Amino acid sequence: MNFKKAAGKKIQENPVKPNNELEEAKKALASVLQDSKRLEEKLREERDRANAIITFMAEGLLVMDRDYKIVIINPVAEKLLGVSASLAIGQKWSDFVTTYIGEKEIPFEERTAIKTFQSGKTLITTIEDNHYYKARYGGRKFPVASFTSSLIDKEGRVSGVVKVFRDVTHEKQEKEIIKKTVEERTLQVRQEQAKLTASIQSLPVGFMIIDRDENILAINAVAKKILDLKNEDPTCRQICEKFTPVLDLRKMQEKSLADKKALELKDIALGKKVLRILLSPISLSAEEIIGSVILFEDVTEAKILERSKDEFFSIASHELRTPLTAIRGNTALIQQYFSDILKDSTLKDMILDIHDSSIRLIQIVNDFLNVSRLEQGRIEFVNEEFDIRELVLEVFKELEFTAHEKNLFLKFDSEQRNAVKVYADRDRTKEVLINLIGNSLKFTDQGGVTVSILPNPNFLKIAIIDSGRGIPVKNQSLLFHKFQQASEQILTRDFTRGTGLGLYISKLLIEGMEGKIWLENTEEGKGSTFSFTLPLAN
Amino acid sequence: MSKILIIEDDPYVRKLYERIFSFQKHEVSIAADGPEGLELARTFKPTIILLDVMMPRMNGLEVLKKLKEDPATSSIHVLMLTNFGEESIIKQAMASGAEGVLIKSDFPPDKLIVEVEKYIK
Repeated sequence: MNFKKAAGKKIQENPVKPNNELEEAKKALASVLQDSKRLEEKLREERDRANAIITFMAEGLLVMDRDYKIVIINPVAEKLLGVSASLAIGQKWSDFVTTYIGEKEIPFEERTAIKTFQSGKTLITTIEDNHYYKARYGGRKFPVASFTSSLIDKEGRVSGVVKVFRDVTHEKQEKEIIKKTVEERTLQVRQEQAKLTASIQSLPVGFMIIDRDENILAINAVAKKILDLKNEDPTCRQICEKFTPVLDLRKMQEKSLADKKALELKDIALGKKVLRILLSPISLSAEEIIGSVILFEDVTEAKILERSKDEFFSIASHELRTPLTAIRGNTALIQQYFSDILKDSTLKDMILDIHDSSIRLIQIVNDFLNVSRLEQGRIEFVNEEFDIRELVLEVFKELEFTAHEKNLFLKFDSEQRNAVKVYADRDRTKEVLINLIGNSLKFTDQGGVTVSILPNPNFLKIAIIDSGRGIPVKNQSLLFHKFQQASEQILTRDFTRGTGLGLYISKLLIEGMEGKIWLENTEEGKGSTFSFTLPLAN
Repeated sequence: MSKILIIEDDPYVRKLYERIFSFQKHEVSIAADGPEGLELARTFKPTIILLDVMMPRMNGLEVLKKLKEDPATSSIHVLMLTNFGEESIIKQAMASGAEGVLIKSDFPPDKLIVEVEKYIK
């Protein structure tokens, strides 16, 4: 509106002052000149600014005309391409610089500048595109990332191309290092994985990993064989069904997950097989459980062996004891009824040796049998209330002869005047007392053996104290073990000629009666104290 | 002097037991298996029978049952002798009316005489 008004005024004014026309024209010309000067000034400022940007920008910059000839090249581009501006200006870009994807030269029509020129579109190449530049007359081949855009003239036609690019050698190297590291790590992980897979596959037990949703993540060939799975990808359901109705495997797994504990299932029947199954939760942290490992072990062979071992012991015991009974019995009868006929003392001695050896052999067979039965839990303990004082004295009576022969004393050291009742199996307790006191007598040459009893609130402690030769430190850890005498040196027998099972049997017996047995103390040359406990009768 | 019947398949043990009690001036009769023993139990009429457990044809527990079933032999004392000291066997024998079960190898002549004399005096 204002403009119109002003224009209107001008039109109106002109005819008013016709004489001043020249002056007015001069003024106008001066004003136009001044304007154009100002404009020129502004333009120069803009150009200088643009030049500054072009010169100092971190990227290389090129401007090409419509004949792809280089019209502008900035110092960074000169430096990157290894050529001077004077050489570059006026050169055709495509003749001047060869472009590559990796090792392969990019054909003319595929070059970004050409494509941009033809389409008018802006094209961007990144480090991933693997583009390289190499000036034909110098410089090195280097990887680039570029931005190529078209210049549009007044008529809207493409008049040229601007290309901004940078050297990505450094990034590429970094990327290579990262790539290499990743590859190496991947290889390591793969190798570890291969090792793990190989070990899982070569495990002698069945191995299976399942996640919380009961998907099988891994299963080895042994597991498939044990479970008799014919298909390539068995399911949890299929496996669980195998155990129905003997075992609810799913329930067991849930229990193991809930308790966050491994669960061992023994003697699980699967067809004709006997399995041992171990379920164990896999946790990443205390809270996070991701699944379970399930191990299957075929213990059928072991079970058969165990059974045949039991049978062997039973049969062997019977078969060995029967002829031994005849040997022992007959030699006893000879000594009893025919001693007057046996005038020759050597002959008498020989009969005695046969008799004693048969007794020893019977003792060995009995020890073996006892161990076998105790280990298999086939001995029943008939617990009852009885007076331990009375039993100790009874045992003393039986061992009196042995003690007397070695000129040793047997002493019962108790402040208790009344009966001390324990709750245990009387015969088994007697066995233990005979073994411990018998051992003490065996290893004592001077002094004797003292038995003391010490009632506590809930149990009774019985100590067997001897003045024997004591037990060397190196042998102490072997006490209460099977064949502890043989373990030191199998060929060097203890002169006491025991089976080495006595203390082991005593331990099994005492533990079977809810008691404990241990070596209280020992000193070489001074003696030993063995103690055991038994529950007191209520 | 008492009548003692020994039912035992092992010839050496059988001979041993025969000697032990013959030397003790007892009247001893012997059988090598169950059927023979059952027959002798009726005809020989012993005071006590020493009965082995593991035997061919008929085991000692079966013999014991038959002895106890037959009114002619049910009152005879039976002492079982075995080297097969399984607790289950001992329990069965006691339940069937045996006086006791002895492990042969643990009972030399003197100890065996003590056991037997509990029933013949």
